[in-house]
Amino acid sequence: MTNPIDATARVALEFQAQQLRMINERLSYVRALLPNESVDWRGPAQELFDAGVRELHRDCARARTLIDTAEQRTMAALGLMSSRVG
Amino acid sequence: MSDELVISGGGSFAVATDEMLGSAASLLRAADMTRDIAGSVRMVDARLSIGQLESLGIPTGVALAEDDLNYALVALEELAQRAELLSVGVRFAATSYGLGEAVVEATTRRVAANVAAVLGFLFPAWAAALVFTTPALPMLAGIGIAAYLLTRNNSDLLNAETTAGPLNELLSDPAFVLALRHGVMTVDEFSAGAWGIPPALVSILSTASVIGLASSAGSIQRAGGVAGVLKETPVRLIGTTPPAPVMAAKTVQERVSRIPQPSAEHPEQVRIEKYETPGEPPRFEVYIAGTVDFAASGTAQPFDTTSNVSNAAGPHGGSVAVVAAAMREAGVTSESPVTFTGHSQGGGTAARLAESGEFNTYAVFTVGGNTGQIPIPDSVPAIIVEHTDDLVVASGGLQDNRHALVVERQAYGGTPLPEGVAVPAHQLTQYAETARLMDQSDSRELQDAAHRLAVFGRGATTATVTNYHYERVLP
Repeated sequence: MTNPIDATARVALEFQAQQLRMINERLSYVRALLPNESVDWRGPAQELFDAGVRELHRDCARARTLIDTAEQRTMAALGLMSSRVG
Repeated sequence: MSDELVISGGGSFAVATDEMLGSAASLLRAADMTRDIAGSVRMVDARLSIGQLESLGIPTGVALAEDDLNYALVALEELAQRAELLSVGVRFAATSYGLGEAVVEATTRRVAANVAAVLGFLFPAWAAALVFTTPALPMLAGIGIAAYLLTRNNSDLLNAETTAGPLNELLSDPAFVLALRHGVMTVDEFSAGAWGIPPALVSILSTASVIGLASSAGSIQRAGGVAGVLKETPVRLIGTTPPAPVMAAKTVQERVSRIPQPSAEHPEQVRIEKYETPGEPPRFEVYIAGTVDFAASGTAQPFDTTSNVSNAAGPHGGSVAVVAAAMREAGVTSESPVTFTGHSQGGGTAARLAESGEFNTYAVFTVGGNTGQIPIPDSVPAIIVEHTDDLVVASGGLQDNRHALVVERQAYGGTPLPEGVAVPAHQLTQYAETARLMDQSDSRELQDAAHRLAVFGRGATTATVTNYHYERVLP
């Protein structure tokens, strides 16, 4: 029989993993909203705009990687707990 | 063909492409969404504290996940702030550019007016010499073309032969069209100078708006009247189509496609859609055709050159009379909410009807209209679509309806003009393409404006459409 504390922990971890997956999906929508480097700007304004856009994409990618890593660590912990119960 | 839309006006000095404005809107949405996501991350983070991890015996690797989430929060906050800042930056750039453009336009206008007044004053003795030496040659060409457009008395003004090949290329060149717009604005100063009024006085009269495109058109019409052309007549109803059920236009493209294009088989120049909802006054969508006959006399067609000149001069044009009569026939009262949609002369007619204050105008939407110098009231939301290579738009002068949302596009940017089509950028099919691009745009300005038009006919329990055919009563 499964230890009730373990069961609570597993539910908590499963919920966290599920939430993190959803967060990453939402972040992909944010990624789609970010503009790409523009063809309409010219000169220094274009450089400023493009630099700003690159920063945004970098921030977004960093956030996605961190959320992804957090999800993987959560899944790994779940795996460990399953093997401990088994 | 260019897919780039340039958006300006709407009560703002900003001038930007729809891509820029779309980016600004998307960036704000991204910032809002990112803040929501950060809230979710905080919630996940708060659910499992380190203490809880230990008490539940959860493997310590998850504690590292908590660190990841904290770093992710920092990244998300930065992302939201940066997105917001970039959005503000895009709008600031658009406004700065627009302000600069407004200053340049005002200066160019003043200089062109003064040059025209001096030229007129010296005319004819010095005019020829100045034509070949002045740097304002495009302005002079504009004056000439404007006078030609306003006075030419024949029915093949815009036929394929007269505007074929190189001439069509010239007439469709955005630089030439812009010069024409300035030229049209200076016809009055040129004429006043030619009448012997000192240039300094002309300048004062012009600044005080005592003279302008309307007074020039009025003078041309009076002079034409002496010669038996450009004379207004009463109009009469010839026929209507039976009322038929209709659905409200959902998109801008659909709206443009509903503008009448009179033919021998379907000569109706005005389309009126009536939307009824119990307990509310009926609402009316009025669609107005463009110029049908370019003759300046002897035609029964009220959508002719005479009406074009009359519309430039004031509110007494034949096409204005036609639409007002059709509206009365359809049951429109001064209280009925009305939206006007027009192409070419239909745009100018729509602007004149909105200006008259006789109707409860909900919105004005024009494509390729010569509306620049027709003052649409500030209280009336207006969307004005103009092609920068459309000569007809330029004949209306510079666009002074600052509160209107102005959408510009070069219809034939980077592509050859079609053979045998006179002033191709003025064709309704080209404006339908621009409307399609407007429907697809991410620009908040365009989306809000399109939404305002789309909701007008919504929720009606009964909707019918009737088309009206009018003719002039010839003496």
